[in-house]
Amino acid sequence: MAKKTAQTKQPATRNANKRSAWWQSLWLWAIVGVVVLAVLGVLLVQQTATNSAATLAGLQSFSGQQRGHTTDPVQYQQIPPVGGMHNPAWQNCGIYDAPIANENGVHTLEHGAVWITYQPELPPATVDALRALVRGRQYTLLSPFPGLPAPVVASAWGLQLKVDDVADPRLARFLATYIQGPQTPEPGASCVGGIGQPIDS
Amino acid sequence: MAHDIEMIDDLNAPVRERAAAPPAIWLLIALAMLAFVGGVLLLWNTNSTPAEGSSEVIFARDMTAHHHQAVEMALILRDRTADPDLRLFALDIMLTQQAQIGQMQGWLSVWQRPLAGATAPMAGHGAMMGMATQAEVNELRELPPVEAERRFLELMIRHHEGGLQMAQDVLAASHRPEVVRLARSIIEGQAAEVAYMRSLLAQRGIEQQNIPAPAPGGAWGNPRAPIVGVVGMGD
Repeated sequence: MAKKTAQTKQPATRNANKRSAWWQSLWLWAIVGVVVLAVLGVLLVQQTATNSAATLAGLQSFSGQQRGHTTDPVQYQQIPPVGGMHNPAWQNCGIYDAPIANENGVHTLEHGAVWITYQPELPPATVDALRALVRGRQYTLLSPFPGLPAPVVASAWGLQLKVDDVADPRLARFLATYIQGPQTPEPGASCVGGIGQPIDS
Repeated sequence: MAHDIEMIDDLNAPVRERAAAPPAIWLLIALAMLAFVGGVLLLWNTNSTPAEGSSEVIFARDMTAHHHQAVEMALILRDRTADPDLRLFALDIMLTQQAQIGQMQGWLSVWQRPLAGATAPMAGHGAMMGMATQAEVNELRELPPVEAERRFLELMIRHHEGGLQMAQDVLAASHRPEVVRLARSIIEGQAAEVAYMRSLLAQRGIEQQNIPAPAPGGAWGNPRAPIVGVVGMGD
């Protein structure tokens, strides 16, 4: 009798255990699925959240710039300069109608400014357009630069973009990206209290 | 018959086994699910940091630019005046507002927003927020020192009142505690400084006419209201 009980017991129990095990493995796979989807979702969100600004076409990068102070004139490797040794006084940000000294401008770059230089012989309307581009902006320098290799050159610390046309949309993007941007060696440094009196700001 | 009863008993046995499945594992699974859902929600917090174009991000950039000019004017004045009260007052403005710039740019950094916006701060309407023109700032460098002191007070009163309006506007638009706290602090501090500056002007024999209060909602009806009525011989 005991043997027969054992035999009738087993199939029912086995089936019930199989169903139970099936449910359990279903739950397990469901949880694994939720976790995988969650991780994928988080990665997707973080990917889209990070600054997806495509690199500016024509942007030049010059790394390894020195940062020290000197009162001597400096020979810079780039025209206009994008970094290196510089004067202890920074050039006050703003719009200038006369050239400013490289050694002061470079210090302003160190403080996070974008320095836009233009060929002095550009027509007044073009100069006005450049001024309109930077007017009201923080941490920008605009000045004529004799001997500039292109009509307009935008520089930030270690970065440079040459453009032919003041209406080039890359100029506005350069400003938006690099004014107090990630390239700034000295975040928090001021753009006032230095030398120079801009004609406009 | 006994056999049938045994079978019934046997059929019942697996049910009891199922019911007796350890509850701990279900609890563990439920906790794991909650943990992962909670983690996803916490990480997916883009809606809890201010977005581009939000009142908080705009305020942080605009007020930073606004403060930057106050620091500029105070720096110029401090170098030109011999009046110890004014020098101290200028220093106070510089240190306080520069620190607040740091605070606001710290927010932008934590919120993962660039410090510079795509366009100029204050949407080019700085004058409406009491900003001085470059020509007015340059006057502080060029006027004789006593004149420059008077001009500084006038420009800074107008500047502060613009800042007060900006702070009030963000209080109406945001409930973020750190933004609200700083905006209130700016309102209290700069309102007191305006009263102080008016008293300094009065000492110089200048009664400043009341500037028309801005319309509610921040719309400036009269951005360049005249701000000086000379009564006595201040200079």
